[in-house]
Amino acid sequence: MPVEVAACTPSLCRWISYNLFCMLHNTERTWGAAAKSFHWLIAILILGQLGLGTIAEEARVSPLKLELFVWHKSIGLTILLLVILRVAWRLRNPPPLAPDGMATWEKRLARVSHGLLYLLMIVVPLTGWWISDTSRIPFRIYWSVPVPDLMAPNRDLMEFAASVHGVLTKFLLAIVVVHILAAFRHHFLLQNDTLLRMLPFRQDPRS
Amino acid sequence: MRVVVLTSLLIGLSLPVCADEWKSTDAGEFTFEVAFEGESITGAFTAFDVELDFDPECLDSARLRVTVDLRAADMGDPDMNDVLFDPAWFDSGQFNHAVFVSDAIAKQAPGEFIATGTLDLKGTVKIVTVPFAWTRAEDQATMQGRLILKRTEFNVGSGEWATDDAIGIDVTLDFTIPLAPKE
Repeated sequence: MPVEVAACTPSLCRWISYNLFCMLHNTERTWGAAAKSFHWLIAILILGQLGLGTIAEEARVSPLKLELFVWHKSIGLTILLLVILRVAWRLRNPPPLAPDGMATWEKRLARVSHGLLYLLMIVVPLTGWWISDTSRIPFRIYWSVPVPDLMAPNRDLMEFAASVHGVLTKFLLAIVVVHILAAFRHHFLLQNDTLLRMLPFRQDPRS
Repeated sequence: MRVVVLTSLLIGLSLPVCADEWKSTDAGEFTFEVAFEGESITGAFTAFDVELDFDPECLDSARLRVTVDLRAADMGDPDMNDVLFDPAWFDSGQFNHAVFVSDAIAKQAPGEFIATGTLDLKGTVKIVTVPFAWTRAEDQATMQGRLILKRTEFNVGSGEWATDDAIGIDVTLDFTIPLAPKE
């Protein structure tokens, strides 16, 4: 990992067209464009999914309800794919360092809650897929891509999967709230750049 | 003597004593398939009755009557079955049965026939042609076929459902119906 950080010195960057490498990659101090894109794209999709899923669930049986569920399932699997890519990217490209002056317990807590976020961002779509898979309702991603059929339709299993999906979604929502509050705490109370460095179109002032 | 033989032969040929009377057994399969949000979904009519007066060599007196209990339509999920019951779909509470009656069966090819008749479904009566293949071995026979109906012609899936946006207009019906001689 020090290799990639070192690679992002201005002298080397000049050799790479349009600073693409540096633009995309994280540095020790800030997030790169790739990590930011993953973060905000997935954040928007997750918030949309919370609304979409609730509306689709509550709607009376109608063509609209069926359409909403196709959107909800399709976007859910899109999130799953994005999160997998995001984790792969993160493994190759370590995040910036924690801000100065953070206690060990704070760092540990941040690690745990980020770990839970990643875990839920994978497990919640998977449980959604599980509902879809055990239900009798046929499904193609965005009306075009077929999904592998893993289990036979089973009403009891489907209802169980649905309750797991519901509980985990609430859990995910709770962690998202903690995540947002923590970002505000860093920004307003501790007054460090933890929040600012994840904002889009904002480059590392030092680079 | 020669006249008598000839006369009896002629009588034998012209009298419509030819049709055998058949009835469906419990082993029949009658399924439907329809497009559903870019995929397809299937269901089955689990209670139906077929009566057939039929001899491939003597179609004049052929007669087919199919009665389907719409209340027993099954898509494998209680919620979906409830939807089938809705006034927008089968309205099975009011229209219990769909009935197809034909007394015009024509031969298409060896072993293949077309029955033209009326289908009474959800209060709408329309002329429908039903192609089927016929096989017979002793006192067992099978009729098998497939047809496509436009559900909207019979108001099945009315109102907001009457487009093919969510659920297709064309419904493919498949049937394999073993028959036994009527007692």
